[in-house]
Amino acid sequence: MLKIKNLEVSIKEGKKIIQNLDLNVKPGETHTIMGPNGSGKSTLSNVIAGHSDYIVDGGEIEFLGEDLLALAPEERAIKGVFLSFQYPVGLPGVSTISFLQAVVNEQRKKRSEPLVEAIDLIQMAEEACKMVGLPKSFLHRPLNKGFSGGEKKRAELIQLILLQPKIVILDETDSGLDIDALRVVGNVITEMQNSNRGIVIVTHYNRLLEHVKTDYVHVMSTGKIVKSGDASLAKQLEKEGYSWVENGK
Amino acid sequence: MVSKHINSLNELFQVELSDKLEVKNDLQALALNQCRMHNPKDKHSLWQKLGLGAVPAAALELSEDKDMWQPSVDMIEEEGLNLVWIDGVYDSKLSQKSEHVKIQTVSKIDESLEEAWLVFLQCLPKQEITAALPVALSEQWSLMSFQSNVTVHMHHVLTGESSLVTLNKQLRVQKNTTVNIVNHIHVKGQKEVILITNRGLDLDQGAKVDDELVEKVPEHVSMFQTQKTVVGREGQYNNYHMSTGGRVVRNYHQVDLNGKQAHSEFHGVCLGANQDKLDQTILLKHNNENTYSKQSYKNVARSKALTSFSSRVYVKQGASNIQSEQINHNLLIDKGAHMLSEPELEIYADEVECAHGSTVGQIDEKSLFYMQSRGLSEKLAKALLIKGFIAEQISEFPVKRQDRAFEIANVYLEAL
Repeated sequence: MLKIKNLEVSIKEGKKIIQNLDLNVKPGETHTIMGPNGSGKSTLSNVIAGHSDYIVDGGEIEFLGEDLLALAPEERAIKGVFLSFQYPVGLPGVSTISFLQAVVNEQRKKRSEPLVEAIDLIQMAEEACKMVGLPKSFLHRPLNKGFSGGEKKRAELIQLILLQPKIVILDETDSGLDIDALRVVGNVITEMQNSNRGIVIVTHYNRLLEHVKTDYVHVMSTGKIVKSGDASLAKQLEKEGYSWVENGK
Repeated sequence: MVSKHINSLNELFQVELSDKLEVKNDLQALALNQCRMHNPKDKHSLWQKLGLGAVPAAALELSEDKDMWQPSVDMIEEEGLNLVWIDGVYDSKLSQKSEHVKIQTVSKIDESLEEAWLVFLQCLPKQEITAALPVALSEQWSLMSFQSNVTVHMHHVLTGESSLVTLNKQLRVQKNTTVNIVNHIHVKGQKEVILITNRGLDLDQGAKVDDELVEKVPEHVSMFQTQKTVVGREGQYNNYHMSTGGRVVRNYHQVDLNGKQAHSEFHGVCLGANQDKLDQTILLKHNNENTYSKQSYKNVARSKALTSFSSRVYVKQGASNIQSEQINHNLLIDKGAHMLSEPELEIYADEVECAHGSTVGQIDEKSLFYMQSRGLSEKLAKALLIKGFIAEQISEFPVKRQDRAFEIANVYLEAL
């Protein structure tokens, strides 16, 4: 479903961030990308979502048979791409519920699907709040404005639940979370796993994988995937550190 | 009747009005003199700031031979008292009567009224030239006295029959009376029209006024309002204003907090588009102790619009225990748009808490990408962000005006 081939990415200043990266995510699979700071994990997430700060110098990204790189960020979202941001931005004055109404119905409109009535959407959003452990009152606050780090991550999950995308990129959704919040994130990801959806978890640590079953673990270093394996690789990384992989062991 | 073809507002001021008008009193002589004294080349003048010289004015007419104009059914508000001015002339037949308001229209002003308007004109900074025109030209003066609590809808109908409409109003709100003034502008036809209004408003002890103007003005209309409000002891004057559209829309407002514990708040939103010029200029004077003022404006400018917030808070010597806030946030959408922000404090007293702040920013690129990554087009994302920016301000408006404000904002945002 998501095929990345020979991807090369640099930033405007010319520095190469990703080099010759290959990744193939099939429906129903969960892939976990791990790696030290600065290895290019977040860049990869942003490039998949269509951030214009990154320049794709070569390679291709195909999503459900279509050239993803030719699409604008909003077109990618409508096709079913969802990025849970490492640092979700605050939207002053835009209430969470009005944002949810706008994005859910805009996506549906563009896909020629029936729109969700406001009353039904509120109900769906309240149920999502319950799933992620946020009070309903958050729906009436400006999105991510004044939210703690953990609350922002939970607000990302509410959007994930309501949008039901085809491929999910979770960029360090587990960072900065306490153990209870980590369990919530794990439960939501597990709930989202199904045979039609692909999931890519970007993380530094193995601890999220104690709550989520992953099919593959890839290690990124200096913009490349340098090692791939199953869930046991994450445990080994935790024990040995990234230098174990970087030193070519 | 005076009728003379002119091409611009600039030209209007250069017309030898005194040749056409009989000078009736000192007041009119002063006003005519102020009209002639203006200097369009002065770089501090309104002419330079707002490009007034380019405002078209097809004809200067003072005529009462209007076609009979009938109000549309949806114009009349169900709640409150409806008062109607057609091309600057009070229409007693279309207006509703009420024991709450005493209304008088005069064509000749007596000595006390002349004195009041002389003070009105003389207190204005010299660049406030538009105020002189209604004083020089109007043949009718509206005097209103509010005697008990009431909501008044003031409808100003511009029929297009006159290209220059001038109006002088003197309002007095009696002791402990609460008045809600809702201003409406109704424009018929597509002809260029300039509306110039002077308003004097006196609030007696304990009187309270909520003054609201939430309207979209058509592109072929220019509006200038000069207002002087005097607030007595424990009086409260609140102004809620949303401005969008109009070739030039300018409000000059002086508020004198003369009584102890007098209070005044301004909450405004200006949405500039096309080549609109939207200017709010406020002089707020704390002339007595324990007085409070707040001014909060949020402006948005796109295309080639100009928005301007220019405000000075003045604290008189000896006026202690003053609190004042002055905030202006601006959002610049396009490269061709301009924004001016001049919050100023002039303080001659101790025991004063005055805060002022101003920001100018653009749409945050990170927020835009975030919203686009959720499936919103750039236009929709921008619209939501702008709406978020002004929503907080609109929430300060009286609840009954908020729906109309969002309706106007939505029209503005649809055209992004």
